[in-house]
Amino acid sequence: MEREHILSILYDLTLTIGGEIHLDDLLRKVLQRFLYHTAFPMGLVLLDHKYVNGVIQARLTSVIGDHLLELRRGEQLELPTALTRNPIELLNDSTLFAEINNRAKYRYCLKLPIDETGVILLLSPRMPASKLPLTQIFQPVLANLSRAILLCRNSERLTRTLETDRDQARAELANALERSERERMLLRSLNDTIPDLVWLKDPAGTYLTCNKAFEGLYGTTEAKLVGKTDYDFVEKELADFSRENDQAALKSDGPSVNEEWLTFTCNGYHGLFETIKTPLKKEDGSILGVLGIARDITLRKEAEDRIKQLAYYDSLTNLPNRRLLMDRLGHALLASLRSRNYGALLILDLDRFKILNDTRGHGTGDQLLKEVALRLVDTVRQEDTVARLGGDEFVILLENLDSNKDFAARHAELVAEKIRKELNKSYFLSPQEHEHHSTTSIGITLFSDQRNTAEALLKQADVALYQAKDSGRNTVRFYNASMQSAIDERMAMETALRQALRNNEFTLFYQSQVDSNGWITGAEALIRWPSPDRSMVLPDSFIPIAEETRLILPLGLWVLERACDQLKTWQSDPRTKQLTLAVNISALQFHQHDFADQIKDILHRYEINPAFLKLELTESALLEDIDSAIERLSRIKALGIGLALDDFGTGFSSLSYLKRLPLDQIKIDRTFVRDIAEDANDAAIVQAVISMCHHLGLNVIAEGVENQEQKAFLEKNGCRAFQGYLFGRPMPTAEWENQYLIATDKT
Amino acid sequence: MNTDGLKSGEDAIQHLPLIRTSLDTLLQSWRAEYPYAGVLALLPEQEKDNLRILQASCRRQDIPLAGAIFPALLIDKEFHREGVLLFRFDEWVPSFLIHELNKGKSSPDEKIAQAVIPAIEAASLEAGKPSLYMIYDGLLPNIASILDGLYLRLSDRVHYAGVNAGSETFQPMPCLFDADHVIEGGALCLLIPGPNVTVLEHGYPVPKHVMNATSTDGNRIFSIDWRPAFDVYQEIIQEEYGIGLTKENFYHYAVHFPFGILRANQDLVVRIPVTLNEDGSLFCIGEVPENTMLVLLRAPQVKEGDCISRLADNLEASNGSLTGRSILTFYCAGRRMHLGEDSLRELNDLAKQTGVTHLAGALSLGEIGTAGKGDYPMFHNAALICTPWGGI
Repeated sequence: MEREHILSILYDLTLTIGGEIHLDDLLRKVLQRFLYHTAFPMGLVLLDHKYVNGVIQARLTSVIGDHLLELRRGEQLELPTALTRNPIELLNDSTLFAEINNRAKYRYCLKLPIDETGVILLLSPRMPASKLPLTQIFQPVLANLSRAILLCRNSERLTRTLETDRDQARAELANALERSERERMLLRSLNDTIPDLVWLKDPAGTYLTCNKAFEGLYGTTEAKLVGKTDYDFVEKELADFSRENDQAALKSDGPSVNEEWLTFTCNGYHGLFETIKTPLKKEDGSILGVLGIARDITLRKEAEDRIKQLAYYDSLTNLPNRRLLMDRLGHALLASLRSRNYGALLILDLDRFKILNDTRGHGTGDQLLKEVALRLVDTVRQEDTVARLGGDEFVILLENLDSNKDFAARHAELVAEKIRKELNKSYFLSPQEHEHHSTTSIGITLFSDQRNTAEALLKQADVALYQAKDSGRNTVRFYNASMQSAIDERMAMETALRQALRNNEFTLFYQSQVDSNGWITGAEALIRWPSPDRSMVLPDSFIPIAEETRLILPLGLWVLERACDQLKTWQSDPRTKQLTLAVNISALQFHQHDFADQIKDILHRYEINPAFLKLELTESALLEDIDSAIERLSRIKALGIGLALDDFGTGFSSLSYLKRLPLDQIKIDRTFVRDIAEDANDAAIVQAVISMCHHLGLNVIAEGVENQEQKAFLEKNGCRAFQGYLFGRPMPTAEWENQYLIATDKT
Repeated sequence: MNTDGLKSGEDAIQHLPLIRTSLDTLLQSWRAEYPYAGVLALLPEQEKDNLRILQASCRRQDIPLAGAIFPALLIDKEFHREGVLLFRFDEWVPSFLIHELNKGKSSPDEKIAQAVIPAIEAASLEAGKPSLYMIYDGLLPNIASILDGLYLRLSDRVHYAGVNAGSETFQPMPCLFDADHVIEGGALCLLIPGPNVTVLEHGYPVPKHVMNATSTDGNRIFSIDWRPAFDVYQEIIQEEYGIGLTKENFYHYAVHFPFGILRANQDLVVRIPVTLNEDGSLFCIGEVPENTMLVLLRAPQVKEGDCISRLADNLEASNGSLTGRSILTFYCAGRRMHLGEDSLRELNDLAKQTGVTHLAGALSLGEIGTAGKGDYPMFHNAALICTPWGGI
């Protein structure tokens, strides 16, 4: 019984000792089992003995059952050697364990030394009853415990080392992971930030990843995309195309670039994408997959096209501009040289376009230019170039016409005539506007084996254009060398004209206007330019140039002021105060928005009786914008000034308009008067005009009357006022006044 | 157990019907006389539904309440299944109702220690070391382990004593309460100032035959001496007592033949098997540590043992003469089943030998005590556990 009992206790203790690998747990559980089996209420374990000065220093490692001692756990205690060394003993000498006997509560101690390692002390106030030989049975257990302590310590040391290594490895791994994750997040963030589509496919075409932009345009998510191929998303044709590109990229050494138009079914977006596909390789050189980056270049392309358009095309008409024209002309010259075929360069502008622009505004002018551009493009061949140089100047480049110069010239002329006729057709510039008529002048130059530059050709065509204009507009002219000298002369004229204005070189001549009795009723002021180096320059030479260069404005104002000054002189003299003075007003002058105010200002400054001032305006000046002309004429008329329509019959005469204009007098143009006796048509026109004027209550005056026959005819048909050499040439002021006074004296 | 506060009069322990008026009248008078009083209440299982009357009454009278439900009450030499037994503390002691001991991250002993240590540190030591009186839900499977853990944490700072509460049928039941709650799976702890000492005794003799619990898990013994537990149990009972144990008559005999855990000091810790499982394992009240040395006990007859004499002697040795005083007594329900009517004889003998005026307590489902003053706490079955108290 006792033997079984002891073996059972030893068995329990041995199993407890063998079941632990941590020192604290081992000591606590062993101590618990000792207390349990022995019924001692308190136990402690001291380890790590050191013999110092006859005592033993040991560390209090484990305590059960004494709270105050528990608080001292870990302390080094000094104990008598008898309390720590073999053998196992049951002690009742409390002085031995005074160091640990709080409040002297313990009287008995079972000392259980653990080899040289330490000691277990079980303490109790009284001797627990036991029939077991406590001092004898535990020796093998304690030997076992000694080795277990060693093993636990080794295990813990090893564990600590392993744990340290593990913690270090974990920390390194964690750092690496964190770094990797940070880098991954950074890369992901970068990927997701860029607006380009980024994706990665494996060599089989299966998606491995993509960025946010890709998700957005394809209307999917990376999670849904990964593991799938293009065949799962797009039509087979497009997927095949993409697959071919991928495979080409896989075989290449570097990036391959494509541009492709893509349509995204999820949102209907259609755009041009520049796709760069790059093969990605692992460190060992094997292929990881294809990295794709697609950039939406739709806007960039549009911008480039726009820039190109702005650089090479006219923004109003979308026709090539001068830059592109010169480029094409350069190419055409080279081609012509090679083919030996003639080409032609046509330059045209719209007659009187400036007047339209000034009177109807730039918007209307632009509308006309656009319409002209359309007509030009429709008129020529597709391979020909129509360009706009600026303003109302257009150029047509005709290539590869013929190897024969005459034939080529004929061809070019035909084209030019076709253009001229097309442009002469009526324009309807806006639904509200009445129809507009325009004519064009065209200059042509041919090119072939001549070694001309593009600039020189353009200049030649320009010269031809001036020639066409000089020929009365609305016509076509070819360039020849003599033209250039005429142009040069014209340029010199313009320079001289400006100088003459500055130097006040102009003067006024006066030509008498008479009634049917031959009595002088007044005069028409006519400008003359007694140029120091050109003798007398005729108005027909410089007025057109003055009009083209707008010098007519200061010149016209000068004439008006000079005439009013003269009129004031006349009105201050009783002999001449009844004279009427007619002054010609140019179209440009009349269309100035403040023209009526200018007149008013002059009247005010010169203090003249406006009833004796008569402004003569040409038909074309009035009919450009009839409503505006009526309004302006009415304001002038309201100042008391007389108004006459000059050169009647030479323009787009319209009786219906004539009726609406607040005119006082119609002047029959000299071209009708000249042949009045011989030409039945002219005679009929003159008769009709006079009749119409009577009918409308208008005075009528005939100019260019040079003989009695003409006067008689006019008078017979009711004309009562005349002007012409028959009554006196234009002459300087003093001479005319002298003539007038003589005539007056006679009468 | 400290009964200083109860020495003021015979009325400190009262057995009352669970009627509002009776309770209100008594508690009102206690409250008037002892403004800091509190009540420990023992309730028989049969009255569990009337607990709310008691709780409401205590709340009305603003008297702290702590208590537990047991199979029956013990009053003098009789067991009662009605009414409530009230123990008045003239000055209420720190009490802790700790629920869900076996849930959560903290161990049960850690939860109890966290609750009671501040009170232990604040307790006055003038009257001596305090006692930690613990009442556990009897269905907790790990009370012995909890006690081991508590001893590591509290060591010799308190005396340990206590009982298990609950249903005699071992059905789950909320059995621990205060004025506002009733819980199961927990513990009720009272920190009672010294110096009285609780004494526990079962009087089972140590048999010669020793076995080893070679495979256990908590309260369950799978194998004894490396053989199925029931086979060994059956064989020894046949050999030693000539009784043919079967699965059918197991419940009839088991209470009379408990296991004992033998300690080196010849102490026995009784473990009564209460359930025979299909796999031949035995389920006991109280844990059986693996490799524990077991003996098969035969429950003693009253006339055979010296249990009551030893109990009375130890009570007197630890607390002095008890003549004229009362004893808070818990009597194991398994012991009662074993002894039947003889259990009343034991109680009668106890009263006689101690000279106390009254015994008051309940049938318990396990008992907690120490072999001697200041010893390691053990969880027992089949024991009587007594604490000197005032009169009834």
